[in-house]
Amino acid sequence: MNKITKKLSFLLALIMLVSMVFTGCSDSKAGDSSASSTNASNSSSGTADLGPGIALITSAAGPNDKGYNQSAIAGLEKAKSDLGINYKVVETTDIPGSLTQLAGAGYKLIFSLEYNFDALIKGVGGSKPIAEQYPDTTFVIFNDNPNVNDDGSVKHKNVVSVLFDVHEASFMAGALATLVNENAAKLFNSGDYSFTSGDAGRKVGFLGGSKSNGITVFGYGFAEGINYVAKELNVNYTFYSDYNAGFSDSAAGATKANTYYSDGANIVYAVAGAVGDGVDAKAKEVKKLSIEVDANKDANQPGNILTSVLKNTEVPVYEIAKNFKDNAMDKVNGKVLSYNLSSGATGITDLSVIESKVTADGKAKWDEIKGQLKTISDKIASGEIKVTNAQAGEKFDKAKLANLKMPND
Amino acid sequence: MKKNNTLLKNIFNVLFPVISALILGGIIIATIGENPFLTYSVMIKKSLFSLDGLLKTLHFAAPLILTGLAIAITFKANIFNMGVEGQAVLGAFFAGVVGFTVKGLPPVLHITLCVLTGIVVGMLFALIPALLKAYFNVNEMVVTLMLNYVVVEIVKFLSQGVFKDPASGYVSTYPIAESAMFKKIFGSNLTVFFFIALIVFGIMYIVFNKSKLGYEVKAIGKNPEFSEATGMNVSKKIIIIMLISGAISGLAGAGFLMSEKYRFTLDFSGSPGLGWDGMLIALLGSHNPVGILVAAVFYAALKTGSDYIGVFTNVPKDIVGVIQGILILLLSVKFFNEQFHLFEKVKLLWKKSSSTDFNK
Repeated sequence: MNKITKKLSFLLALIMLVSMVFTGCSDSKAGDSSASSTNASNSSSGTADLGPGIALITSAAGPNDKGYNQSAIAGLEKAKSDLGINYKVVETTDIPGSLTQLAGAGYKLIFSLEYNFDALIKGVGGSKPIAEQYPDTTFVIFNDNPNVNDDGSVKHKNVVSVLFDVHEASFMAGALATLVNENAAKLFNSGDYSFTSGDAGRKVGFLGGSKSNGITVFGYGFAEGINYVAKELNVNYTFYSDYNAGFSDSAAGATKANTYYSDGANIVYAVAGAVGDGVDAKAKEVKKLSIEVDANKDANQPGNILTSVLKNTEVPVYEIAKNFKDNAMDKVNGKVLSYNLSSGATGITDLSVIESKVTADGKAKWDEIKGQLKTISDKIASGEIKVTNAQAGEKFDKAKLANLKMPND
Repeated sequence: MKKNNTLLKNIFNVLFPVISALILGGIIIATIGENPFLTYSVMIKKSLFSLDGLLKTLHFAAPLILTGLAIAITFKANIFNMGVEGQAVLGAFFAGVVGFTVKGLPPVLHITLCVLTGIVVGMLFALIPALLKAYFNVNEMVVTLMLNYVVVEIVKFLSQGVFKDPASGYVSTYPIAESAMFKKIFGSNLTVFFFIALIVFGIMYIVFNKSKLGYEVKAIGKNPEFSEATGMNVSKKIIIIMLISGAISGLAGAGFLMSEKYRFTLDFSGSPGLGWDGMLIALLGSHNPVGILVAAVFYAALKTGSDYIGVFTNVPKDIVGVIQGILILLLSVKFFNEQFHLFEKVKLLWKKSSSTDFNK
């Protein structure tokens, strides 16, 4: 027993010592570093109101998701090298807490990529909305515009909503998928691919991460794009969809995609984060095609990814950062920034990767397809083609799609 | 003197894994080129030594205290309720449903109604494994564990279907009505829910240490056959224990929804979820209420601290995940040691081998 107490008292003494070292060190160092960082930012920026720079809160997918988050960080990186603004990337599960922390720490521009707006816009549990608590800070949110009152007026002057017209981009992908599927025999070398031909191959698969407006907006736009071309060519398509693929299980994605491929589908489109990697790999294995989303991932499985539907967060992040630097935040504050096909922030890729697989004989047809796509994108821009935007709350009516069957939507 | 010794041992039991985990985590921080002392000081200072941070820590500790207690009471009886996670999530979900469907009630009534819903749902859901265990001797560990996955699918189905908020871009139910929200006290993060958790803690402290039930729980944990032979109705007691556990779990989930999340989303419970964190806390606190209280606050400090790390240093917040992982590893060693007396066996082996060495 004596031994035990001896050991314990030694241990306790050790713990105390360690904790003293901890606090001792920390006091001076924390003070130093914060002081030096403020000095640095003040001297580097020249103007006082940049504060410590720009902060960005990632979504749950994290900063290395090869898409949505990573492009936004690329925008900040560009802002840093071009404009000299420091930035800070924060990964967190407590979005309201981190917004408060960052605003409290003096950040005047905060991007939040996660869907979590209640505390920021409305205020929860009897406390004031965070946007109201920090009126000098601009908060930028994505994919939704909760910043409106019931009468349509703007709630907070210091909140910016960024929306991407991904329904239109998805429409383009649907049109492209159908055009390629119809002309696959002419376009590609038959040894490279093993497409199911004829009516058995007039099927398309869609994998969504969750049944929510942020995801269905892709699926519905895609379906309408397929229907548009199918109607022009007077053929009928079947659209298989699964909105429960989740965002992380790429192995399950490969399995699900395979059920579509083996049923005759030649093209599967995945809007489900890392699940898409599994779909791409399966496409390569069965020598068919997949469609990617968010960033340009065409080169991940060259020749087996038809295109990527872009949602390039880099563009708005950089633009807003530029306004921030130029002290011109009035231009964006309280606004909804909507990025359409012509902005370059959304759309489909330039198709250069898949183009390298097109045979010499198929070149003429390929150029024809590209021309058709151009016409379609012009028609979308002019409003002649209207695509359902589920994200903006528009209702999707599958009965209107005469040339498309959606058995499990 | 004897009592003093066990107290010291308890402190040792809590501190040893924590300190070792922090030291190992510190080494990792140092290897990625950051200052571990600065990182830890940011974490500890912000989450425990500033008023705002401390209140936030206590706020996040509230559901963890409850899930920790919910697990401890079953573990003490040698019943393994691995379903605290599922019971909490399901309780939270239905508390949320009551929170947004019922309208126009005064806050006190509405909150009480939601909390009661959570408790009842948690109890009902714990009743399934309890009955199976008590009357059919079905292994409760397997049943409770698997039922968690059932819950995941049920709430996913419901929140994508009937209870889906169509205005939301992601999978989420409607936000609960203002009258169902626990109000934040003086603009801090703390809500009345923390005090409810403390009251439950007080009750459980008395149940564990001063009541007949507490004694019976211990007896069943030590030897169920003997308890049965002395005239205890063990089946009935198992059901009661599971119901209490389910009720506390349901309360934990409901409270977390009503004081922090305000609407049900698929990532409601976080990862690892409230229930799994509770298991860690119960182990860390050696299944004793005071230990659980301390462990829950510490663990909440670690969790809130991780957000401050992200904001104020360049260390990725994943480091806290690493520390938690090491902690779990160290605790499981302790757990196995308690169950199988590993250290004694190793000691014995070593003694034997060394003695043979001497003979050579």
